[in-house]
Amino acid sequence: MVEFIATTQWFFLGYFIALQLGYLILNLLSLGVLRAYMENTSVDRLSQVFSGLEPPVSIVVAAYNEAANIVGSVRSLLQLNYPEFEVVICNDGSKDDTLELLKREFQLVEYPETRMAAIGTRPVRAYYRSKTRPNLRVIDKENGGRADGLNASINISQYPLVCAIDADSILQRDSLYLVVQPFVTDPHVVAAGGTIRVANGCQVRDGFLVGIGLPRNLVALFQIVEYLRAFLFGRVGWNRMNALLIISGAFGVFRRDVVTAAGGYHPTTLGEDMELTVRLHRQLRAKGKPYRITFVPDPVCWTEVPQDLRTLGRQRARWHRGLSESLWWNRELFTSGRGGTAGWIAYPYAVIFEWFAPILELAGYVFMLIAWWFGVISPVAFLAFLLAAIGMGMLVSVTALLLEEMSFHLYPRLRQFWTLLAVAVIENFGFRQLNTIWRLQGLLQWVFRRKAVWGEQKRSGAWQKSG
Amino acid sequence: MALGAGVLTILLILQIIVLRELRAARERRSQRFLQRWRPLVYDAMSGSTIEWPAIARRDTETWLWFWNQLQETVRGEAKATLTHVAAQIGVDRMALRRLASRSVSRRLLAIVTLGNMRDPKYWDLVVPLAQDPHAPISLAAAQALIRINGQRAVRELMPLFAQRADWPVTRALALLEQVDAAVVTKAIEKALPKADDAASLRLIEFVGAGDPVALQPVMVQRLRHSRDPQMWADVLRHLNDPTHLNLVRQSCGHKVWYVRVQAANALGRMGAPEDVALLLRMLGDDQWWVRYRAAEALLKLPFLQKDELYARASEAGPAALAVLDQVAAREAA
Repeated sequence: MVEFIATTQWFFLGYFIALQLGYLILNLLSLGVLRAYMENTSVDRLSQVFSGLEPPVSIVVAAYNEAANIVGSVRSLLQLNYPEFEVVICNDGSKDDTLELLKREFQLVEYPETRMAAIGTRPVRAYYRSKTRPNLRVIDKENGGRADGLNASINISQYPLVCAIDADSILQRDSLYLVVQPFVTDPHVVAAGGTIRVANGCQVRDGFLVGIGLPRNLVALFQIVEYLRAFLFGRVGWNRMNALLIISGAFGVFRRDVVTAAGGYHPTTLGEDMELTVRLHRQLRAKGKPYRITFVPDPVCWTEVPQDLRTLGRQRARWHRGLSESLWWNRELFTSGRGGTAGWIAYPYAVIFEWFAPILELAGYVFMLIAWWFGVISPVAFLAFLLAAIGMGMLVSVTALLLEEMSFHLYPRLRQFWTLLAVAVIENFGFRQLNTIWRLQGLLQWVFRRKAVWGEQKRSGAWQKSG
Repeated sequence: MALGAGVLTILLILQIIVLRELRAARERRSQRFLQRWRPLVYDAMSGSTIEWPAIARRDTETWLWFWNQLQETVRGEAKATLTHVAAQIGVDRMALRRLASRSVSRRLLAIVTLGNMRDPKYWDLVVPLAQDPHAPISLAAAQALIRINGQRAVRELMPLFAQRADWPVTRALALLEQVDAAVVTKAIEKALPKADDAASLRLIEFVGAGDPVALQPVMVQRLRHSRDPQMWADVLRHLNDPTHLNLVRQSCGHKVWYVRVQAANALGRMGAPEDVALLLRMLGDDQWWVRYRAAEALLKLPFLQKDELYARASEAGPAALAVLDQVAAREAA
């Protein structure tokens, strides 16, 4: 028994150390990539010249009960600074006035669509074109979920690139230009994402970000540090190896032909963004075609995050359930033996350090606590475990702050720095553990096939009213 | 391990604080510098004679950014005045020092500066940089050479434009569009017959920066030696000379759908009455985009009345009428 406990304690300690070491390795990779990126693009801010050959983009949005925001969102999309693009909104069976507001504001008229749907969706009721905005179209269809709505929009998109965004995403005027650059420089790129930042506490005018600030809400503050970790080194690091397993649903650009050939977004998963990305890796690796799924470190999209624990918990459980589905359904990426870096490195990493992480982390804490309580392990050993688990977590969060400082430096005021530093420390005493519990809930929901529920995020929508 | 993590965390925090302090000090210094120099430069641009103060070495970065940003915003005589100011202050010396830097961003700023000086004496210094294997450096050098002498740059660098696959087509085209279209046309005319398929594809992308009408003969000639469907599609995209109608008509039956799309587009631009039947057949193509563009082309033909079109299209079936309706609805919106 004692031997078992001794071995097990080393297992859990080893797991926590390996987890944090993995983050640190990604950090180191990201350091080099970010530095080179900032150097290479340093003079680009002197002038932004469009040649007219920039690939045209179809921006696709699925809207469900977005009456509060939809008009403002569409107006701001139509003002993006990009040579040629269209906006295709899918009203996904909204029960509120989303469609009526769009009809009124943009003078929509019905038109006949003859194109056969390449991706199956719930039935479409009508297609609309705007009399005042030639590059705006709207689909009205039966409710089928976000993925289904995006697929319907993709079906009628006329441009070679599709940009999928959330209805409440806040873009910058040059967001499209920045995230399209990988497609311009490398013909093998099939998908690209950008950094998503937290909009809470920021100032927005006419749907565009005009000032960056920190929220007062602690839950939102925790998520700022989280997002920095996830995007500034998580994605940048994996991108270096062409092993990025997710292009965020809040803002991502794909080659339309590739997405259509892959079957579009999966309509029943809760993590349609990750599932599509992993599936693209699996299918393209299987075909042996050269490709890249890449990432632009620039902050291109801002999103409002939950400010209460209940909503956040539901979101995190949903995300983990989506992760579970994505990894399980596409396990061939690992098992086929042809997965490359995505299959051999990123996939097992995701399985061990993300998918099963809630079980291992929670079990680790509980096991060590019980073992210490019953005197099986010494207080020193228990403290060492806690310091390793929590201390390294702090190190990783502070490293993310360093990367932010070295790259985009979006929080220049000293007070902002101390706030983020305090949050980077405090989040390790309860918030990250709470996250673990929520993710475990998501995992159990997936295991026991509980019916998926999106729930409603309490949106302040404050950004829509400013300016 | 835990202790190590703790020490490392503290070191990182200190590093962040130091970085922030350094950045803040740099920005304060930069603001003070600009507060002093902006009025001087604006006075010089409005004709005053200025006794220029010396620029401290650590302010040269700020000065170079400021000067280059102004160069991007002013036009005409103001540009020439700015260049004169730069010569008086010794901007070229600052740039030349940075050219040898190991930092990519410093070298890029140096190259941009030399380009904005527009002085032929820097030509030989910048030309080798256009061959640099690092794309951002070589592109910046190409831009600088175009600013120094656009005509000479296009003549001498067109082979690079054709061969450098790491130069994004959009960026390369944006450079070529800064030069007189006649110069670009001549350079493409000279390069295209000798180029391989990959280089030819790039050169055809650049036709928009030249004179597409004048370049049609050389493009069509090049096409006769290629089976590359992408090249066929790209050449068709530029054709509007009815002497090439036979080539367009042949392409309407090409096995690759995007070639047929461009063929339909071309017929919409220059089709003759006898091409209506061909376009009506394309309304039944198995590729939706071919049908859509054929419908667009038919509705564009100036000699074909809508009633006549619909009467003839009805013989092609309801699918043909449906796609015509869709295009017509879009035009009406």
